[in-house]
Amino acid sequence: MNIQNDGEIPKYKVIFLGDQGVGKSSIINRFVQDRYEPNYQV
Amino acid sequence: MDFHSKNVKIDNQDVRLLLFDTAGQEKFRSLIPMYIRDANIIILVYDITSSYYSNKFLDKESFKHITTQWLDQIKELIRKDVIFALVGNKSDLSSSRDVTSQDGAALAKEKNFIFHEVSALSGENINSLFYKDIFDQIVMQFRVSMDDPIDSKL
Repeated sequence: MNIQNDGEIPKYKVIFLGDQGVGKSSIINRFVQDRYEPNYQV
Repeated sequence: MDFHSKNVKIDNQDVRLLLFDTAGQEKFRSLIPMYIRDANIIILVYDITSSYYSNKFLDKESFKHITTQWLDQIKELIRKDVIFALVGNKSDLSSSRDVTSQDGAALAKEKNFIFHEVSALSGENINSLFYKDIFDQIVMQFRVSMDDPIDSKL
């Protein structure tokens, strides 16, 4: 495992691209707010 | 640029996903490159339907724009180890479908991208897109890369 922790949680940047109206915001909201995730921890 | 974050566990590691939504910036694309340069994951979204938005879009326009506009705009900027996903949204509206699953899958295969058709409305395939396909690729990066793929400066 090469991931660097250094006491701070590692971060991955995810960028959503696509034409207006394709549903980028909706996909993010569904993913972020959906309670169905076995691994989700606050 | 709208911004969200979500903490997840990937391969037993706590990871924070920083999600950047370019909605509303389509007309200000000059702002997008600075977000692309240090993106670990780029999700290219198109609409599988054509007529849903009152004919606002021409046939397959958002799908064609994946290659003719979005990929073309960012190809010189991306990290070498960036993970790409091609996502056809609105699979709940398959009766208005204009882009076939085969079209999407063929493009993704050609580019070596993850591919999923999803429905943000119903939630279909949203979890498989992230928790299965994208996280699997992140795990592969954990294991393959000798470099730290994480930007810890943010």
